Amino acid sequence: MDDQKIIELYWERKENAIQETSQKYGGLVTRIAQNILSSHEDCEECVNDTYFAVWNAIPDKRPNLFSAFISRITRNLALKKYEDLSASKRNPSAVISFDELDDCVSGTDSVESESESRRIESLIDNFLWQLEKEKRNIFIRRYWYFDSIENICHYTGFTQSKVKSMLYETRRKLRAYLEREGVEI
Amino acid sequence: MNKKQLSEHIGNMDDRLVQQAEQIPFYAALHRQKRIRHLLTAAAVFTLMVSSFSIGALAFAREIVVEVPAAQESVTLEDIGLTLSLPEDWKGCYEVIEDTFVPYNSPMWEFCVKPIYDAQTPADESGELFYRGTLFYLFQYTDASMSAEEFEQSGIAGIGRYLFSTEHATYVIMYATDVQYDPSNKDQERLYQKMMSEIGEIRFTVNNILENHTDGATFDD
Repeated sequence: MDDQKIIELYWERKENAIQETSQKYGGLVTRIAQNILSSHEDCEECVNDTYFAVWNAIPDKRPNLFSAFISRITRNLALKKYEDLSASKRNPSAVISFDELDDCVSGTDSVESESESRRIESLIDNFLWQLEKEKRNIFIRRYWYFDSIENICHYTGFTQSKVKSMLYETRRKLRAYLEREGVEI
Repeated sequence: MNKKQLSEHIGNMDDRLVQQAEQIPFYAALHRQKRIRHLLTAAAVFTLMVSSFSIGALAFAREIVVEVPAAQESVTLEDIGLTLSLPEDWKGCYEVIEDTFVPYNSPMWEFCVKPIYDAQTPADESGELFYRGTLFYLFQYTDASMSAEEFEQSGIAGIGRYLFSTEHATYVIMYATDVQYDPSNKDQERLYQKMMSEIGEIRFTVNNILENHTDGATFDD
């Protein structure tokens, strides 16, 4: 079913909106949850919470890109759960993905105003739009979708060393870019 | 900023970026297709060029003699009749591994730093990959004799660097692009960098060129 029709179902408060969403995007949101959480039960709970959150968010919102909208909700819910879980219930690949981001930051806690946060996010967007598409997508698969290196290799056909070196180079460039733009990293 | 804050910022990126990355193509196949397209175009051009230039090539054939000191370390690649005279201090420090260059299904030789290759230090968590110490790959395009300029204008230029050509073949060198040694091992790093810096000292000799061909080799510095 077309995304706009699914959104209409939510606006009309029809319960089959969730069924249609699950049919179309169940695989996508489950994969995102699994990339972050290791336990099957936690993933299932996260996916169900996603549908509930979408049900509550529409109406009020009419997302343009429904797949990105629902993926973002899953990611946020899974990361919230990730914070509450013990290390054993976190997907090790997500832990490594987080650790890799250490290359881009100083590691010190900093207090950011709302406007400063928006500015940093806008800079990250600019940085990514300027990157080659291939490198950009691999970066997003790793740090937004939390895909493991093995899965990225499987999707792209690249070797692990190639993917790792692309990610390393992009992290290094992102850090330099943020520093150049005066962001306190 | 800490990594959690950065991850949150990344999480708030533009929806269009997120959606674009949702379905990523099998890039390796796209690269292969692109290379094959270039190779096919180049092959068509070379077929025409070889036929039109072969008479000229025969007329201006010349012989280049490369002197190889008797004691110098050397390795001969019998399949393509090529001898490499290596820097003397490479003795015992390198490994030559025969492989296949897939696009042409032709033999390819990988020159590695032996102590790095032998150490088999894992390069990733899975342990499937290890640092190979690859200095360069050497391979030969048969039935395509190109000058350096012709090579640069061909689609093959993106794959490797032109070395030289004979009447019947073009020889190409390709350098490793990834890190080839364990970055935490300073000895490996020193040895690798030293050997990399000495690659320019390698001299090439095409064996039995006068017996098998009427043309000499043209070398490009």
